[in-house]
Parts: sequence; C-alpha cells; structure tokens
Amino acid sequence: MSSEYALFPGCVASVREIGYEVAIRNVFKALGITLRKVEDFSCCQPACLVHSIDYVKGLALTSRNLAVAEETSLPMLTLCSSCYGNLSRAKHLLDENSDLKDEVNGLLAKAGRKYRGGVKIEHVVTVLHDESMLPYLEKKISNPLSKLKAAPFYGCHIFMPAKYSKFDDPEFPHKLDELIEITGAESLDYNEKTSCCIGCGSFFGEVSEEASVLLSEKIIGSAKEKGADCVVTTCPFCIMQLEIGQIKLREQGKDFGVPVIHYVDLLGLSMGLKPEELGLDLRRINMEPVVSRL
Amino acid sequence: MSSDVDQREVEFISLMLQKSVGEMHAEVCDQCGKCSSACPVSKEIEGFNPRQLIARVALGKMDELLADEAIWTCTTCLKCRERCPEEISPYDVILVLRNLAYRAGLNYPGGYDDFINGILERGFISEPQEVRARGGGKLSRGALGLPGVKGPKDMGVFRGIVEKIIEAGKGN
Repeated sequence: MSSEYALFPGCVASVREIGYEVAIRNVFKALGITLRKVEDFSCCQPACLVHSIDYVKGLALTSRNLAVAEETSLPMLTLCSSCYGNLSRAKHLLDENSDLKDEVNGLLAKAGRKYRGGVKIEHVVTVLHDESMLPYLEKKISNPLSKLKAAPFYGCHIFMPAKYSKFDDPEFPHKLDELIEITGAESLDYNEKTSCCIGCGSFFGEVSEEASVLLSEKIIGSAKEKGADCVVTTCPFCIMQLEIGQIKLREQGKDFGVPVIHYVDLLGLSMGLKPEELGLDLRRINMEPVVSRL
Repeated sequence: MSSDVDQREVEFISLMLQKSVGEMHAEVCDQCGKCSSACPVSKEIEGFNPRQLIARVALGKMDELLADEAIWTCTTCLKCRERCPEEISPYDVILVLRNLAYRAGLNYPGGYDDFINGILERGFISEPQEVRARGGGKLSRGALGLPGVKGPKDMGVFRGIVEKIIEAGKGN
C-alpha cells in the first residue's frame, strides 16, 4: 500500500465524466493519499480503438503510458475499469512475450521511451480492497449508510480476464460487495451484476448502441426489482452508459430513475463528505433515492 | 476512408488466413460454445455469434467475414477470453479480422476516425468537456477546482507513431 500514486487521467474519467473526478480527489485527500499529477500520459488505447486497426501499434500506444509511469517510480492509479484492464493486459502481454516486447520497444524508441516492466498498476478499488487498507477504511466510516440498498455492478474489465486483471474471482466476484458492506449499506444480489454495459463498443456503431440500451434495461430493471436505491460501479464508462441508457429508455416511456454511482461516491458519503463534495449534483440521474437515505 | 476496396488484397489475405487456420481442428476450437454463453452482445443482437464466427473462419469464409458488420459489433468485453478453455477466444480472432479488413480498405465504423483524430490532436479522445450542474449552467474542470489535463509533451513524435498506423491501413 502506497501513500502516493501517479494519477492516470483516462479519457472518460477526466475528459467526459469530470464530476466523478471531484469525488476521487476529495475522498483520497480525506484518506491521506497523494495523487501526483503526471503530464505526458495519453489515452490508454482500449482494444476497441487503435488495436482494432493495428494490433501492435495500438499496444505500443498503451505501453507508452506504462513507460511514462516507470519513470516516476510511483505506482499508477487508474480511475476507470477499462483503463485498468487495458494497461494490465498490455503489461501481461509484454512481460510474457519477449518478441512482442522487443517489437513494441522498437516503436517506443522513436518516442524516446522504453518499457522495462516493473510498474505497478492499481485502480481505486484495488487500492481500497487491500489487507492493510481495509481496517483503516473501517475506522473512517463516521456515517454508516444503513438505510441504503446498493446493487453492485462489476462490469467487465476490473476483474476479467483474471489472467490480466488479477483483482477478483472471475466467476464469483465478491470484493465490490465487501467494499459496499464496509460503508454500512446492504449489497444486493441480482442477475445482471456481472453483465456488460457495452461502453467499449458503443462508440462505434448503431448495433452496439442498440445493444447498450437493451442491456441497460436488463441491468437497471433487475437491480430495481431487488429494491436497489442505486447501482454502484467501479467505472465511469459504466456510469455513463447506464445513465444515458436510462435517459434513452425514458424517451421510450420506461422510467427507471436509478442513480448510478461510483464506489468512491458511496465511500465518501459514509465518511461524512457532502454530496456536493462528491460532484453528485453533476450527474445525469437525480440522486434523491440516495441522498434521502443518508 | 478509402472507397477503393483492394480486391487483390482481400483475396491474398483470405488465402493466407485460410491456410493458417485451415489446420484448425478439434483440439484448437471444438465449438464448445462457452464463448457464446459468456457473450453479452450475442444475447441481445441477432447475427452476432462468437462460436459461429470461429467456425466461419475455419471454413475459410473470409471474403464475407471481412466485409461483415458483425466483426465490428464485438464490444471487446473479453468475457469469452476468460471462458475459452483453449485460450484462443473469438476476441483475438476478431481483432485480427478487423486489422485485415482495415488493411484491405473495407468498410469500418465512422466513429474510429473521430476518436483517432481526437487522439492525434491532443493524446485523448476529445477536449475536456463541461458538465451540466443540476441547478443549471455548465462547469469546466477549472470551475470545479480540477487541474488541467495535458497529453504527451512531444505531440509531434506521438503523432508520428499514430499517423503511420492510419497510412498503413489505407492500402498504401
């Protein structure tokens, strides 16, 4: 467990869903963890983007970020499951295949960089669900959310494939449930908790957009049926998709109104931070079901 | 995007791929179907079936596959990669098909150009966007007390790597 991390901004977290970054910063400040700003990072290059048109060069752009982080000697902190999954995948592929590593380093050399291996990649929840961190977190909970029912949404990249992401059991994940329970809230079991928000694919075509709305209906519907006051996730991409999905469903006459929040939002509320300090007034779905149970 | 499909490229690529996966036999993909059962897209969208896709590659149906919208429908969630007992997964095959389709000058979703242009401009997919407060009004990163986001220091060098990708693809 480190007290300082190199903050990896990510496209969705820092460019599109900036209200969520407000929450991260305030919660980590309250926990006494420093987030160091490192210039020179770029898009993590998910598999759905440059990899799709040039596999090796896409991998080189992802690995460039790992090389930048290596120079800081700090572990990386990602805010987004997709960034965490992509960076972890790149690290695994390069560490396991020396031919691929040489080819990628050949490309990185043109940018004056080299991937050596040794950078530690963390995500907000991998830092928080840690042996040494958990007891410390429990002490920080001054406002247990005992009236709140939360539906955990694991999504995909934070825990699958287990070979790359190494965070949780790929078939029966439980760590997000445990993190929710620490805040005093009840973590619900429901059918769609390990489904997919189709965030990664949704930028790229009507078919995927359609799939995304259909899955939002399934995921939010299933959570609401179990009595969820909110859906809690680890990824701003998931937040964006499930919020926009609900807005599109509302246009079809199906009104769900289930707030979708990040785990840090929940943690922050249980640590006594106010909704405005967590950017909850900047989200697309009305937070009343959550705020009324504080 | 080039509208001239290089037919010879398509034929050459198809032949090469058919040769390499033509030896695909039961030990490599025995059509167990675990990929399809894991796939969230195939449950919602008819016409997208990961197991069948691998079967089509093994049967050498490259021409139609490279031009099929289905190969761009995969959301790269990697759930099939987790489940595949042979660790080959439709996801890996789909990425190869996409790479080949792009090189052959075939159609691909327009969103790619937008996002890649964004990355070429500033290292991220777009400029930091303002967020709407529920009380009304839009707030920028600065207004929220958040520091600015800067991309690669040497954008010229960074662009050099990315631009070569796009050139290489367009049948050059």
